[in-house]
Amino acid sequence: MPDTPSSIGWKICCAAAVITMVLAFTPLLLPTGSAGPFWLGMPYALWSGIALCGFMVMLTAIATVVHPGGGGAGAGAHPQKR
Amino acid sequence: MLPSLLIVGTLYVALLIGVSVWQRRINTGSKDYLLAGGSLSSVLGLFTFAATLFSTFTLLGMPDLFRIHGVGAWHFLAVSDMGLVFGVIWVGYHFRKVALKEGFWGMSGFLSQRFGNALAGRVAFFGVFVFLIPYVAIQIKGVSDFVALAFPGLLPVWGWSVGLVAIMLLYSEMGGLKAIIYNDAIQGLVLLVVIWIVGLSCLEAVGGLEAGYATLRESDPALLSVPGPRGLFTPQFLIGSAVAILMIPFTQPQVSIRLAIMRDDRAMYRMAVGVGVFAILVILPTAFIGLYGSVKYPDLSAFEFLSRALVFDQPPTLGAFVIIGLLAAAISTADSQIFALGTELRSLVALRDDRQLLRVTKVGIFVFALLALAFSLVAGDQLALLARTSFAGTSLLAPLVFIAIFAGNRARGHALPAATLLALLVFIASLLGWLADTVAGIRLDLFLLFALGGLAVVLVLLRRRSSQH
Repeated sequence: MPDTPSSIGWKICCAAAVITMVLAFTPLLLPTGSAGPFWLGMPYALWSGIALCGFMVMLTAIATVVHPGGGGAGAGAHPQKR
Repeated sequence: MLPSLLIVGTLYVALLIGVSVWQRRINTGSKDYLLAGGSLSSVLGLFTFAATLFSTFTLLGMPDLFRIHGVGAWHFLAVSDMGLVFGVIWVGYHFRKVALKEGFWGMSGFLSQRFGNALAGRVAFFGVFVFLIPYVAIQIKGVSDFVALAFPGLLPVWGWSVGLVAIMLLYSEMGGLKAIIYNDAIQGLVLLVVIWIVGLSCLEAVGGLEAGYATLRESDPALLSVPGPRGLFTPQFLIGSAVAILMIPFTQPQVSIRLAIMRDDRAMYRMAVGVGVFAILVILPTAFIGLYGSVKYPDLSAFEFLSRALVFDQPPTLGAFVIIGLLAAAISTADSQIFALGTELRSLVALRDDRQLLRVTKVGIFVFALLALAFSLVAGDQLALLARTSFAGTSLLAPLVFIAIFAGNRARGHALPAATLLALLVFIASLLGWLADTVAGIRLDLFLLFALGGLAVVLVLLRRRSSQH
């Protein structure tokens, strides 16, 4: 079955989340022993971490829209109803 | 400050008990009592999930981590939490799909069903019991030590601990999970408001972000990068912590039950986004408090720093609210953990009578609370690091849980549950100092997790091949 636009969007979100989380722990976002560049007085490791968190929240919000699970499956599915 | 604390504290406890009495009238059976009716809205879900996730270790442990080990603390918790939130919508969807079809009463019972044997459920229960009781204990100890230090001579540490557990047990036993969830909502809000007021006050005291970090550049520049002045935040420590934290929604039963009882998948998705925002909002001010501590109190012990930064350096009424916020943070996590242990026990018991099962659960909750209280009297005071050990310990259950969710009938068998039990025992032995805590330079918890993950994949592939022939 061909991928729908929604499921392609979901796969892109998943790939972006995995790549972002991997990058988060590399020297790109977390350089050892290096404090700069500073932004609003904050060292790089802190402000880039905050920016990364903001990006991940937005990504998660988009992912909830394109999630192939929609809202149908499990809707109203109380643990003991089925 | 004592009169303010007594007034605010009395109102707070009355509110918690009031909610429980209200819910006690509504609860009609096990499903209401243990699963809150199984139809949680996204807003209630957000607050109960967040209040359960963010505990004393956020309010007390994180400022101290920022103060002593520097800005890497943000990656340690906040960045890891973002992965957790995405994992909730990714894996949570599949978890709900399978768990709700099976009839979910607890992770241990779910695993027993999926693996087709009692060993899987018992291993899961053993894992959460061994690693959650110390986690509950450090919540109780952390707050009791702190309050005893803030009000010397009023009550001994054990007196505060007993009071805390008594309040928690009273409203949990009376009102069940729904009462806990409503109280979590109250406590989550209290925690958020209190930590922001204190955080902003601390930031103002150091002259703002720029002035504060400029001072640190002069006094201790190692705090501004990883691995920090004491070398804690190495890539391996951060990655190991992130992996352990990512697993929490599926390996810590007080969190996974909240995914199972969401009204529908959409409510769970909205809740996950809300938790992501909540995580940033609740961790950011702990960085400000940590900055204040690094500048003003770099050499004090953890509790001396916290009592000054959170209570004595604040106006008296705010200090009283901080104490209540701390109690809220501790109670909202500990009650959910103790209640979840009771629910896990129930999911393993083979009784048909609903009233008998409920009685077993309530007795279990009472016993687990007493055990946590006893452990709290002997626990250490490294809140954040003990919490991390709890996350790492329960994360060893992840391959078992993920195979149960994703492998269908190929999950059945004793091999993976037995290997998980062995891994738990090896990890416990290393914590007790009987075994080394690294293998070929890799942290033991991370090594065991990857070994179990590899074994799980091999077992599934072998089963798939044998079913094809």
